[in-house]
Amino acid sequence: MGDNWVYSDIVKEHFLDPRNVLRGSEADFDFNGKGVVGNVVCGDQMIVYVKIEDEIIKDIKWRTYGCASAIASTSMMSEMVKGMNIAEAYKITPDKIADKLGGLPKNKFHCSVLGDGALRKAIEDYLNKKSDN
Amino acid sequence: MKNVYLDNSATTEMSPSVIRAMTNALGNYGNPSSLHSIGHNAKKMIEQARESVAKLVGADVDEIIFTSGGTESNNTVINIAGEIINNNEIKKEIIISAIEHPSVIEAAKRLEKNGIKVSYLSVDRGGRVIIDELRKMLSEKTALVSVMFANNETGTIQDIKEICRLAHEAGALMHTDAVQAIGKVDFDVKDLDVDYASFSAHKINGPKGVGALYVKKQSLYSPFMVGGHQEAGRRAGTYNTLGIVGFGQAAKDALGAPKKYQEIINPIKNDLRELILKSIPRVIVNGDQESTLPNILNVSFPGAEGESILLYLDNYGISSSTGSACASGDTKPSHVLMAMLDDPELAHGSIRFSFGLDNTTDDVDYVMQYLPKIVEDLRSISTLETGDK
Repeated sequence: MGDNWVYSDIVKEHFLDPRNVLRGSEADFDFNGKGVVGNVVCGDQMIVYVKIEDEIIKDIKWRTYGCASAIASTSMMSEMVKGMNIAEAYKITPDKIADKLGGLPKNKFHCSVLGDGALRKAIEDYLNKKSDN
Repeated sequence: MKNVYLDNSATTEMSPSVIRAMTNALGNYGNPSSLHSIGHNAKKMIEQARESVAKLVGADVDEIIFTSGGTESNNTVINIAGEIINNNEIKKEIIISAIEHPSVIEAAKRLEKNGIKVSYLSVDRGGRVIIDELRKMLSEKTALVSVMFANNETGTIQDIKEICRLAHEAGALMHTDAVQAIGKVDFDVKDLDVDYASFSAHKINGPKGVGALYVKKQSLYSPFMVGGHQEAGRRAGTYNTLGIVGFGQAAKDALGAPKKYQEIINPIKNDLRELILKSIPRVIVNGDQESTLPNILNVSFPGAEGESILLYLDNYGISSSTGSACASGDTKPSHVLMAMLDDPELAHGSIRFSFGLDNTTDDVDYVMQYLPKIVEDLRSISTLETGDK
């Protein structure tokens, strides 16, 4: 791909070597919040699992079905929010993720940067469970 | 890094003979429409190219109009249908297949906006048009039927001879987009009896920006480009001499190519298909394998997304293409695969390998070194593989 690749080098790095992926079964990961966004019809879907302790994201895992920018942006998001307070993590935007990736092609932005939405749902899931107890 | 080009249906590398012919023609600046010797010299080169293109498709020389490519040829024919309908009391509609190239579909949609009825012919799971549906659609109101000879995404070949016979029986004109077919399989306008056919140079190792339209003698015609007397008033605009010379050479070279594709490339393509089926679980081969071009293999890998597979392959120097929406930046996956399968996961997860005469069994082995692992890796991180849909 080299110099002629359609995405930035950071996107390429995260696409070819995604970080914090949940491999195997979700039962193998001790999480207390889970969020899903997207669907197969539009070609991108993400699941985010978080382990929250003292309102801090201690650990995060994810799975993504989708294109290179979907995979890379979820990977980048997972690195950005690890160790972050949930109130702060809740405010992560696609812009911030795309900036960290060194930019994304315009036509990719809205369809593929969905990781922040999945994260918010995971945090909401955690908060809902907490208030149920 | 090794470079394995398997995207010949997108475009081909110009052959050395084409480059030579074009290089020799480079200095020939004359306007072919001029009467002086310099212009006439260029005109002669164009007429030689026309003979080669006519010979390749079985046409008479005056039935070949040079255009800027397949898109212009397709647009021209759909617009002719619009003109016919606007000037005729009986003719009211056109029929196109649901899997046509966008240059047919979008041109037809423009007619629709102007109040002309367009019927879209369905295809079966293999991508073959449903002939019984065509029979029901056809009537004396039908001005034109347009069905591509072979599909650019799946390679599926249609029974154009039969479709054409039915169209003519109903009093309709027949067009076929043969951009992917010429040079790959035997193609003869007289045998098919079509009224119009579209061709492109860069799919047969010729240059980009040049193509041709076959118009059967006495068939209705109205020019798409106006403002000049070129091509007997059928296509205005100064001749693209260089491109036409390249097209002519490519057409000459393509004369014996179908036999080579059948004997050399088809077995290599089938090897790749069988190896994929053998070594990767849950694979769907798209397109009617009994009626397909010798050089196109389209495969869906459920659970993995096409653009990701494509970019992984590209990382190893393998060029392919996909029907995934993500690759095109569109929001909808391939209209061809959706018309055939009506399953977005299969459409998004599709990869097309399209071979040229330079591909070898080594290329297939090289693809198989990486493809199974790529699909496995993408499935291992995919949401669709957890049961948590």
